[in-house]
Amino acid sequence: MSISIAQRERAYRAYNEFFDLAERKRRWHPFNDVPWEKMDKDKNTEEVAICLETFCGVELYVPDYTANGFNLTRNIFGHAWFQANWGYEESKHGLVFREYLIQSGLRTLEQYYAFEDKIFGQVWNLPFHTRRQMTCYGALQESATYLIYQAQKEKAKREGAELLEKLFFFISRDEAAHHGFYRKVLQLEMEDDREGTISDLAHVVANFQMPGVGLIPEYEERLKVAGVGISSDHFLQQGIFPLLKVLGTDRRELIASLQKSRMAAAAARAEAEPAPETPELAPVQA
Amino acid sequence: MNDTEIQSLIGEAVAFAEPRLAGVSLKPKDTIAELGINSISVLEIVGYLEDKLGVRFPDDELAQLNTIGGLTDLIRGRDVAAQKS
Repeated sequence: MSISIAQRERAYRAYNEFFDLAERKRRWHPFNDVPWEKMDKDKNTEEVAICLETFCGVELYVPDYTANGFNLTRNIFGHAWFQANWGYEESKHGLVFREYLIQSGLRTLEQYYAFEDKIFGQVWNLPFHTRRQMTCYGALQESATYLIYQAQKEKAKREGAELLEKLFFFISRDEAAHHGFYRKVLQLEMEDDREGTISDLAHVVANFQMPGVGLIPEYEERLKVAGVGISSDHFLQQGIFPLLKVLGTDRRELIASLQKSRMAAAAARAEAEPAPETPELAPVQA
Repeated sequence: MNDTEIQSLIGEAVAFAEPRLAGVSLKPKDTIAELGINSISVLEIVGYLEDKLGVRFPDDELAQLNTIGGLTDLIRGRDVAAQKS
């Protein structure tokens, strides 16, 4: 997909803005800034372990996410450099989840490595295959992840689990920033091609799945533990609707676009199918 | 609209968005999640209802849509509002 110099420059500026803010206000050190001394093992339960282990598992696919992300964006500075930063930040998330699981004793090293083996035994592949569709996916997925981590932060606060509260503060803030970058890029895409961008967004919303689906062991079972996932109505209200608003569109335009795409696809399929042979007519008997 | 008409309309809307659910008996307590209806299908269902009823539901009211009963309440609420105005 060709991209003009003006588009590349705008992507570069969006990245610069993201990077500048990250360097000035958002950097955090996994060992120095997370208050590990406040680990309260009494507050740890198997439910906490399942939540953290599942989140850790999703973050452990960073090598696949970044490899695929780089392949898709490597000729556009703003997007490729974002992938590098994104991968760095997500790698810290996996690291602190791993540390917590082990330091808390919620998982032994043997249990952790057995889990890691299962994760690394599978490969994450791109759910969508164009950069713009993956930008739509990134905007939605980062928003869902932010909402999940934000809820964990609030839960930790209610329960007086200071370490977890701080940990989720850092990582939910990162996810919000990632969502912000993707949202900004989508706004730029809308300026260039509103119809095409909405069509891509509709396609992605219709086929959206969190990255752990099909990859994290016993994922469906894990989702039964409160806080591991997000309900579709919550995602609709807090994830999809705000994104549509920022992009200057709404659910009706999204649905109209989806239905138009479906009709076009059905027409293309009908055209591709061979026309049925006309049966020979029997001679009319007088 | 009476309850039978509302149920029938909801059945139509659900079948429109999710053809696999056409003819399935929907109960008020059936949850959207259990029926396997995803976010985009919820939007299609609501859009269908809006077109048929000639109304527009505010986005924040869609937060109540966890169940088929929630859809019924949405329509009833609009009906009451229309009768009052």
